[in-house]
Amino acid sequence: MTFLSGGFLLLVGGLLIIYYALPKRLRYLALLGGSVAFYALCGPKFLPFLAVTVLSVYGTARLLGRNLAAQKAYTALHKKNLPKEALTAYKQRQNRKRTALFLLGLLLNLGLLGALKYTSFLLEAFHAPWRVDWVLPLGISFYTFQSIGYLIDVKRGKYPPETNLLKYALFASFFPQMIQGPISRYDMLSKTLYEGADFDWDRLGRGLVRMLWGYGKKLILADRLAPALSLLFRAQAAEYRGSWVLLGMVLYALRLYADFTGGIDIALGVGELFGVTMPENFDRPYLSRNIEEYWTRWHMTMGSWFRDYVFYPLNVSKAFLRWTKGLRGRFGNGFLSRLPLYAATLLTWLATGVWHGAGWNFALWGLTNGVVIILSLTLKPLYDRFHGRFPGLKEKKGYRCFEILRTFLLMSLIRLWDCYAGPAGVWGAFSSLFTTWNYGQVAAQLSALGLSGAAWAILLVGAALLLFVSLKKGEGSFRRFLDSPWKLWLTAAGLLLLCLLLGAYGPGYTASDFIYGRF
Amino acid sequence: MKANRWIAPVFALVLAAVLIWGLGLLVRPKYASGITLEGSMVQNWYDHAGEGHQILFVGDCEVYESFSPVTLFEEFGATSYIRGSAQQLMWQSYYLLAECLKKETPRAVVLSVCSLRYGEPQSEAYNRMTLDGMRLSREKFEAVRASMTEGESELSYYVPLLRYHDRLFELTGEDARYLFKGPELTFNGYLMRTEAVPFTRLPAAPPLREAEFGEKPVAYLDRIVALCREKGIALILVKSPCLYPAWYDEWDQWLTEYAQKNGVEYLNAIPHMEEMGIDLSTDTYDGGIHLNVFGVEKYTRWFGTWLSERVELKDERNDLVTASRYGALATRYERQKTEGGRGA
Repeated sequence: MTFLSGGFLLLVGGLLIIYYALPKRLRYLALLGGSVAFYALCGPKFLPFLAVTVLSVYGTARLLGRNLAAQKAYTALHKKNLPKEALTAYKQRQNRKRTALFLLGLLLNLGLLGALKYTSFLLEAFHAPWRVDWVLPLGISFYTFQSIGYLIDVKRGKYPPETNLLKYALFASFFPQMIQGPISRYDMLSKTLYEGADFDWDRLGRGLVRMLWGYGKKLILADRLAPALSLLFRAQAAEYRGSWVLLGMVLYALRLYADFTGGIDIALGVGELFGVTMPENFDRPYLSRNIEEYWTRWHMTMGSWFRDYVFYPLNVSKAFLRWTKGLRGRFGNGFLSRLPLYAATLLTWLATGVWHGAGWNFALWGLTNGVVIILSLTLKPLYDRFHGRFPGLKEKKGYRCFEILRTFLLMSLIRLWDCYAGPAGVWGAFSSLFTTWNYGQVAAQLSALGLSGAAWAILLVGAALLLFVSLKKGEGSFRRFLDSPWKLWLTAAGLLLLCLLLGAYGPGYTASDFIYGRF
Repeated sequence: MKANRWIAPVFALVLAAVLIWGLGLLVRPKYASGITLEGSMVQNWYDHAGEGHQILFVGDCEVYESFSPVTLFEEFGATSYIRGSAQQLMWQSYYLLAECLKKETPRAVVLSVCSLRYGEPQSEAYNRMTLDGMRLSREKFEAVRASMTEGESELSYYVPLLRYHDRLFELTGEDARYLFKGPELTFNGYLMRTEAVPFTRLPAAPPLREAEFGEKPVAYLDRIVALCREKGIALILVKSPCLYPAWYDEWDQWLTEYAQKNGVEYLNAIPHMEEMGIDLSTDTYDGGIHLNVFGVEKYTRWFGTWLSERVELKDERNDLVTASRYGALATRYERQKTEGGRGA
């Protein structure tokens, strides 16, 4: 079952009726039932994997919480009658216990994810004589990371563990976010997930508009582009070189954006129908002026997850701090003293790449991002000196457009890892940008991609509309526009018609899964 | 104000439903020209449903390109209608017949047995040509369920916009002209062809894989037999004089035994072609696969005689209303026969 299936819409519709028919305090149970039903309909054989994650993380978090509470009680009781050293020793003992417990929970879940996701790739990479053909449970990367984030937060004492198993199970398995995120944090999601929303036509309308906006992006733009891109990047990749690669980069950027943000819009819209607020995952990323900014605006929940749970802990770990101190002592504050920071950056990006999938391309995609970020950090003094010479340039509209275009092209280039098979394929495509001069041919042969004139027109208008909405979104004018119930519901009706009329679906189209659903 | 919050959503819902319906009407194929005129035939029956036909023909091209209701009326005074469409499968014939019998009770039902060869749904395009024209009913619902090929969307049979939205950029004047009502291209279900392409040679018949027909078409044949028996209608199973695709002796034998066992008539018209006077150098429009209007008239005359020996037919030529209706039909029929072309 995907967001695009009739079964999903029926599930959401049926669940809405059940949800609002139940008393408020029981409404979260409807969401849990819906989530289990959704997962079972996607593949009942995957339910045990989800159950292992839910039970192990819930159990570990409860034990961690209990241990922390016991420590607090013990410390409060014996604060006056025990020497400071004894209390410190007690705390260290408890801390070690919690660390062991935490590592057990962490390794179990990362091990499960790693075994299912990477065994096949590793066996092949190391030329092992046997192979495995394991199907990855739907959304395992997302729900595992969301659960691990929760476990880390409980371990850090950020919030107490959830005591109700059913409520925790709902947090880990809430169905709209199972396919491609967003990766939610417990303290944020639980505010609206359990409280049971009151029925509200306006909220229902807003949820519906958000969903339909997502469906529109997916069906009208992303799925219409999918066959053409498959031709460019897979079926006839060797023939489409030079300017075709450039065109492919731009079209893939559009497709990925429409596909991924579309899926997230649907997920957030479904959440809103039930009064559940999930975190935003995008903030007009293609308007970013540099790669660092881009990664704070694209797949924001994943970026912040890796920042909070991988990069920061690594960077401030004892080993890294010792390493930094040692380098500073020997080389001062220069480039070499920043090696630990760069290593942490590269490791984080390697992990980000590998999280996306098992394959060299994913790892190299992550490392390329890391290297570009390190380069831009290293060259920052140079930029600063340049802008010192030309003050005011940064604020000029033309220069801002240049920065946006530069970042867009750079990110599109890095995404070649996502488009072509194997490093050789990526290198071949990349080098052809500079060696195959066929820039005059593309316009004349656009129809070779199998898109009609009408399809190109839809894509152009759709892309322009996305840009317009992105520019206007910052002003909040859409939110104000949708405050009127008539405008809200007529927008929903209009979007529904647009999806049905202009969407690429039905016979002749192969329904494309959401790209991030693979991860 | 809060209490009226439901008005905007309900209005938007109704508006969306009306527009989806209207746009569906606009984009659905009208089958008014080109090579798929057959797609318009199923819906035409609704305009004739109250006429009370004596003979109802049901089936694939072996009825709608083999029998002429105009000839039947002129020669025997019997009123008739052909509820046929391209590659109409046995279960589709059953549901179309069941729908017809809710409105009329003919004296005889003539069923083409050619489609018994198909054990499973064959093609989405042919399904559409048969089922899109059916009005919403229990019969349509069940026919859709029985006919869908793998990967088809059931909902799209009831919401045409889901299936035909891609035609938005291919719309022509015909789509506006036939927005609410499709063209009437047949003569009581007979799709006329006037060209003559002589028979030369047909591909050799492949070896027969199964001497018996599939479980599914036979089950629906049983249901047709039961339905006709229940309504007291004579059922005639017919294999028209079409030479391709091959009709095997084993199938002929099976149907002979089936007809005897169930007390219905079975006619294999192929051996009677000489008796009918069919000349394959002039009476076929596609080299022997289907008959043209001249072959159809010969076959219809012969069949009318054969049928009147088995079923009591009423001569309605003296009925003023019926005669006037068939007179108008015959005028159109003769005009097309003279002018040539396909459809009306």
